[in-house]
Amino acid sequence: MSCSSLFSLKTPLFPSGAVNRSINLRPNSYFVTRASLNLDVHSDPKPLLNENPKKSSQVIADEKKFVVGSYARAPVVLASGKGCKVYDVDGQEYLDLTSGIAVNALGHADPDWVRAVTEQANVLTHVSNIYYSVPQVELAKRLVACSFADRVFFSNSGTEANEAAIKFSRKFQRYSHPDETHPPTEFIAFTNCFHGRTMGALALTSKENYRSPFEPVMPGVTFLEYGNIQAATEMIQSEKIAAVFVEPIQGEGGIYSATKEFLQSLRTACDNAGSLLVFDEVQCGLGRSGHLWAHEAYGVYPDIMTLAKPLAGGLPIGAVLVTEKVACAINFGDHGSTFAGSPLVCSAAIAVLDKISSPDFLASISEKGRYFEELLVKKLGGNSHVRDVRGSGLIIGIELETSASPLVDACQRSGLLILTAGKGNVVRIVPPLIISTHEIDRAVEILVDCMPVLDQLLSMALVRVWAWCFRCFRTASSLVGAGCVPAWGGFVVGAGVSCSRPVFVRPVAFAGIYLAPGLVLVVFLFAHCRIEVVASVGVG
Amino acid sequence: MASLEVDVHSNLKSLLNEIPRKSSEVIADEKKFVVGTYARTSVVLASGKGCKVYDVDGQEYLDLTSGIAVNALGHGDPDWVRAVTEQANVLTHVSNIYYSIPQVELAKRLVACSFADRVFFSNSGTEANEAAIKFSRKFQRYSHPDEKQPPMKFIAFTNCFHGRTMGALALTSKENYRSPFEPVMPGVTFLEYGNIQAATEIIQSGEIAAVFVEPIQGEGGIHSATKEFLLSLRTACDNAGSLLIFDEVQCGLGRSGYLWAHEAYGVYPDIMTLAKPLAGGLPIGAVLVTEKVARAINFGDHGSTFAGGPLVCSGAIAVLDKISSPGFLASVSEKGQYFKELLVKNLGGNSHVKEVRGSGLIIGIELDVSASPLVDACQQSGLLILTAGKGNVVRIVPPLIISTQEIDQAVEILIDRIPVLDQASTN
Repeated sequence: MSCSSLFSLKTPLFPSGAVNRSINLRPNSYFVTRASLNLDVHSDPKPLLNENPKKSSQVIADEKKFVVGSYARAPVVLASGKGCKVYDVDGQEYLDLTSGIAVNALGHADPDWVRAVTEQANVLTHVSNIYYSVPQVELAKRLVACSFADRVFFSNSGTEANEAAIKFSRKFQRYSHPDETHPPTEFIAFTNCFHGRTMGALALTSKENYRSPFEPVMPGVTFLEYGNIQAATEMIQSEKIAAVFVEPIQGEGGIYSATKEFLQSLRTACDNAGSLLVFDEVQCGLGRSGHLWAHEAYGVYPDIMTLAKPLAGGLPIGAVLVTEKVACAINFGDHGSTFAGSPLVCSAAIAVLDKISSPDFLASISEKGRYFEELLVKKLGGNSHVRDVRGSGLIIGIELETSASPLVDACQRSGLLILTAGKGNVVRIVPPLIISTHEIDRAVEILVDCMPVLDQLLSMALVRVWAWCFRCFRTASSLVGAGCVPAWGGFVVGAGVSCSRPVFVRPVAFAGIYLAPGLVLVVFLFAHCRIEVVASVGVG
Repeated sequence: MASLEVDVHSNLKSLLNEIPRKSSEVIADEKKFVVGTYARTSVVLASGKGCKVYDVDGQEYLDLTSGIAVNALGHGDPDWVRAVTEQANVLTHVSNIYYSIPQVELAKRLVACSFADRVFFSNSGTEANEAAIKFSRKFQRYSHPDEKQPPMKFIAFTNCFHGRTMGALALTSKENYRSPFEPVMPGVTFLEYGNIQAATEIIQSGEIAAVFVEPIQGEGGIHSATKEFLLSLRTACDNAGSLLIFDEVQCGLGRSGYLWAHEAYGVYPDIMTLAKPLAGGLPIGAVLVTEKVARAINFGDHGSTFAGGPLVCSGAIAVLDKISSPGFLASVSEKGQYFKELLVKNLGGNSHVKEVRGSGLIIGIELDVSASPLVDACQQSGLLILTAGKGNVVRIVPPLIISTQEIDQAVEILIDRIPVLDQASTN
């Protein structure tokens, strides 16, 4: 059965409201783009853009029907973006403080990035790692030049980078302990960490319900408290540990920064025991913290560092930066990837790295990060729901004493996109690193404007509670007054009437709020109306 | 346009024109700056068009590798280039926190032309197989809610290849891919590919979450399953409640002459994994599942930051639309048959050639010696080929757009250079 009869290039993808860009293709110095004479070109010359405008609701319905339901998405269908702004299919503009989860470091449609991708796509996209290609080698050189590392291995994602780090660590230990039947093969990871979703990286990821449905995962991982120097030192001293995986700044976990003492203690313990220290900078690396690498702020250097997210400006990539000591242990055939390190993805990454690694660019991130954090503290620090504002550079967390979801929803309705982290009570702010102070001001304005939704939430709950009590009491009174039922039965019926209202379908957290006044009512009725308690539940 | 407040310090040099590179320089740099996992051929590729690639010295090669069965539409396909360059100007990545049209459109198309009801996207073949592992175990937990030990194990087969990350690696039969990294994910049993009885017995144990099988083993040596074998797996899985997973990362998407390799057999899986050619060279993977499997997967069970991005999916739509056209698939079958017949006719009599096998444009020439000298000799003559199996199988996986003239040229070069095997075996 052919797809093309149902969905051909005639089926366009984008609404007429999408932002159009001019495409400036530089002449290809090797070839003029031309179809091969022998190719049966079944191609519709109409562009995929702009032909059949799609409504949000249609796209959302299709996703629910055709995509495996692993993502609880916000009801926003994004169609285009420029800088720090994105636009949905209805033309609604949003200020983007998510960067697609800390990926779009240069914002959307950075012209140098677009140019690099467009040029390279016309020349050479993929050859596999059977052959050499210039962009991969150039990118590796640049990464080595601006880091502690001596060599680089490329992958297609952060989870793949951590999988490679796992393999390199175990191989290193076998190489370093050639005569031992049981060289160190175990790993340490920390509470609130996140290293990925594939079976190795998943084994290193602390959140229990990410792992438990898929057990048994890769064995040999111990989780210790993030920041607990003593626990970590003791375990590393056992000499069973191949490597310690740690994020200098935990992103998914809630924007927690390590202390220098903690990282230093890990470094020392690893050095003494022969374990490797692996810094996962998939989210906090590449300028996000205001330093090129987050660990630079601490002056503590790892044996391996994993990167991904922003590296190729939105194209899938990962990288594992290693010292020569680690690299010596890795031989031909030990690990590999078909796609990784391709000319197209690496050309894009070079455009990103060249820009981000400039000292001025990094300084501007630090500056803007400080400005953002101070503004947040000034405007929101006094809010009763805000427990803490923390972070470095342009990775900022606002910890709330309640769920951040209502605030995320309210901000989205006001044209601001933000994320959450931790247990869902931390607002995670990771905007494109090119965000302007003007946009920062606007973002904070919207946040300030929307914060009251957290108050409303509580007062709305209280209003509902009292409304419920009133309905209970009214129903109970009329039934008792009519002599139909005993007072207790009247209460049960009254409660049942209220339960049938949609307002009663609330998160479990509010169950207590509903039950408490009910209990008060029961006590009141019992004490003052001399209810005869009926043993059996229900109407007498 | 750069934001007015950003200090735009762009150091971007055009890699095409400003850093002229000699092969030897690039090779030396790779040896110095890249972790040494790849024993690469000493060719530094710089550009490509259709089935031709060019190295930095301007040498032309006829490409029968497609970057390991990735470049199905050849290099620089105009529709793919157009889709990618247009989309790059509009929206590249948003993450899966939000919806975007290309992902949904690609999912719809894949569902429309396959057994599947739903799709999950990943960034590679190994990630697709990792997702399939997770979906299988979740499905079994969902189907056996009261059991403490629902079926958690897997079956994979000899000479298989499913990937290099710790889950897919556990399913990959080659011992020395796994042993330096033990302990990997537990619970995998390897059985002989094609052994109906062994497979049926183990599946009947009721402990098997899923069976992973490639309808045509690529890395393993271009071995095609028999219909009886796949059907026996289907039946045994149905009876035991295990899932049947077809890994079509290499043999899928037109490579075999059918859109999906399993169509030739009329046996349908519960899950199918894809990757390689799907996005024309951009990193992508896909897991196609039935509703029965999808029902068991909830929010938060699995995810990926990059997967399903607008740019990559736009590239994939361009590829899928082209490959899935009946005319295109018929031409792949035709050319595959032509290629194989030409090889049999011209090389079949050679004393080193044990067998020529394959379907469509995945063809293997099994030799009685190592294929490496032939690969090197062909490369010197401007032909790029791969190996498979234990290194004694020449693997031919050209772009699906290869012309008969290019096929003729390829066979000519092979005939010309095959005597190098005589010299090699003499030495």
